[in-house]
Amino acid sequence: MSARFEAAAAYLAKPSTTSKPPSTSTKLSLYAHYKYVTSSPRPTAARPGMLDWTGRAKWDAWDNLGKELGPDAKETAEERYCDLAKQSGWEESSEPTESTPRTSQRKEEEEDIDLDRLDEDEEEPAIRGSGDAGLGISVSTMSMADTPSKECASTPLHEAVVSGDLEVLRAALEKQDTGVDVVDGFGYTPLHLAVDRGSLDAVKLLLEKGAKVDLKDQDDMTPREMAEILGHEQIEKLLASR
Amino acid sequence: MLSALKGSKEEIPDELVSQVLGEVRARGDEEAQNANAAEIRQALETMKIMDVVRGKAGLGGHNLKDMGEHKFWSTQPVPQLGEGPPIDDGYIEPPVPRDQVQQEGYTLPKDFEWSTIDINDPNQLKEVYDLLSLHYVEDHDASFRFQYTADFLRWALAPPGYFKEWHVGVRVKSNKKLVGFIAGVPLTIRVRKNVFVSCEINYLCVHKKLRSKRLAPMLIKEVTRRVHLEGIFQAIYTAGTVVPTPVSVCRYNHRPLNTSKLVSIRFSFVPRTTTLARMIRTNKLPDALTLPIREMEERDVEGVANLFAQYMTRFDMIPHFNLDEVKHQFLSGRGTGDVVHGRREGQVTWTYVAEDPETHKITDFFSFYSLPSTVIGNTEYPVLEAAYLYYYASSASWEKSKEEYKQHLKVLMGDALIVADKARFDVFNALTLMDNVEFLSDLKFGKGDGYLNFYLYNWRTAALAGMEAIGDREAGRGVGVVML
Repeated sequence: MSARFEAAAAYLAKPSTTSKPPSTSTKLSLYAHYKYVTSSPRPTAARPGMLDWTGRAKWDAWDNLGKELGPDAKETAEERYCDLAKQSGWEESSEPTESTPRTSQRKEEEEDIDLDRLDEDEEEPAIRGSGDAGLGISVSTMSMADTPSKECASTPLHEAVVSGDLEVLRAALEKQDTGVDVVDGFGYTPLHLAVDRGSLDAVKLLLEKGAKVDLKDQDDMTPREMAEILGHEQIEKLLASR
Repeated sequence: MLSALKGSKEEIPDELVSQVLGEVRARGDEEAQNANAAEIRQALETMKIMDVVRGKAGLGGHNLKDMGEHKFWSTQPVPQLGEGPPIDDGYIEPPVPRDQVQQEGYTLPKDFEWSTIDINDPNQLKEVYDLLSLHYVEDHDASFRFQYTADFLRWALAPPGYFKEWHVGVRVKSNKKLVGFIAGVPLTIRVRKNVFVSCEINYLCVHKKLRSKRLAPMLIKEVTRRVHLEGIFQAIYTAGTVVPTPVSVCRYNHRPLNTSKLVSIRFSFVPRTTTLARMIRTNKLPDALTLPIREMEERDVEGVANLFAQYMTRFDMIPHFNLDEVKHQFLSGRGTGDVVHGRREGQVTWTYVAEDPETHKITDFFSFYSLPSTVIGNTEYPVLEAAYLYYYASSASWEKSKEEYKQHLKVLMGDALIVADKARFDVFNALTLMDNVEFLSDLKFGKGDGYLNFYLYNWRTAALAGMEAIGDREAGRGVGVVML
């Protein structure tokens, strides 16, 4: 990536000093272009679930850009990213150091820090997420990027269960023409997934619609056995009573 | 808009919510029609697009830090970005005699002063612990933050021959509050063919509200000055972020032990292709150990030291530990009192050995350390108990065929997982260094989203094989130094 691109990214990395804060749609566009340039033309991970509204919006923005530009348009993407940055107040010629106009602004902010009250309002989200500033080892969690995308093997009923939204499930149940015990590409009925995600209400709803309680998944596990392994006592009791 | 995103104090304005809601619905996405104002509000509050844009998230080992940081590093004796591999290994700046090293401390901004931290004083140790536990390294979502314990810091900061002057603090002049810290400990390392004493730098931390004060570069310069005063001119350090210029990058891998807790705290997730019930079954470990291993004892120090020295010759960058250091690294952190649920009071390291029943030579050993993280904002599970693979060695590496060694290593590390599971750790972490890539996927480690960059200060050498092979050097074989 070019130095110009990096400078623009560095400018945008300081939200508090950006003179013209970008709108949501500009930010999505910035995100898409940034990912295109630094990562890959289109997302490699699965599209986030529908409740992850932000993740999904970002994923879509990135994916749409990839479709629009095609795979080999890094320079165009950088160019457009820089243009967007300019709209947000980035000045191309400005050195990303102490000589920029935002220095004075930053100084003023600094003077606001009350050294005798540093630890008050400790959980203020504004200062969270900025902890990776140092030398040391880094925090890591399980990566989602390496999971293959196989949403095509799913059904609206399964997606509704996984979404965790009862209203969505209710609507999906009204619309379905596959039967309530439809099996997805991985061998699970909607009831299996409802039990696995620990949703008592979804289990109740599926049972009301006549879901069978003794179907086995790919590991020969019934929903009841799953509830037992997971320690979902109420669900287990409910299933046992059927 | 941005200020609205940043704080819970300032509520997200209604007009913003409805504007975004309109945009979402306009996209015509079927699910988008179901979006409601509360969801939008929630999403906006947690939205961190700028984090991604600034390169803090989702970019693997290539999160470049901001340009100000680069300006600092361009003044330091470190390889600059893009300068390419050196013809010969060696220092960048020559050593200078002690009397030519700057004798006075660097000048801090007017409200701050230097403070050498005595980690043997429980009060000062607690100050460091408090600073780190609120302000140290977090993941990019700010969900987890390292929670080094006082026992851990006492162990990590005081190896044999440590210099107390290398534990550098910054305090607020008026109220003496500790707001910055950096630590160095001496470490003899071999980098390819050269052996030298270096300083291992760690725990650089500045109070979150003071990040704009440029205290971090001052801490780095000051500890460097104090290291120079001891006649040492090289350092080794790591960071999750990229600054000029990594000598290697490794990736974290995670073996779930308490699968349902990891999912509950969103450390792991359940892929659409499987169920939590299945993951729990797959990750379940046996109760009994496979190999006849036992906890390391004082009498094993020499055996472990010899085995370690011989084994580590396989890697390009390694520590040299004498007997005192072996004892400190692998034995001194075992805690006190009886073992309850797999651990003692104050235990920070677990070390197990296998002994040949006839010759009584130590044939294998492994060690791991405990480094919990705070689960930020979680009341049900406030702490993530993580075990990190530390050093290990096996004589099978030279006595057996490559394939046999690989199988043996898998069994040995499988036992490490069982020991950690019994000690009630939630997850077992390892990097793609040493021979770890030989067993990670077979032992059901999953890839992490975190990377660790390795750096050498004032030393040039070509890149070392970490997460990827370099030339014919296999992945991991370049790096034999494990940081705490």
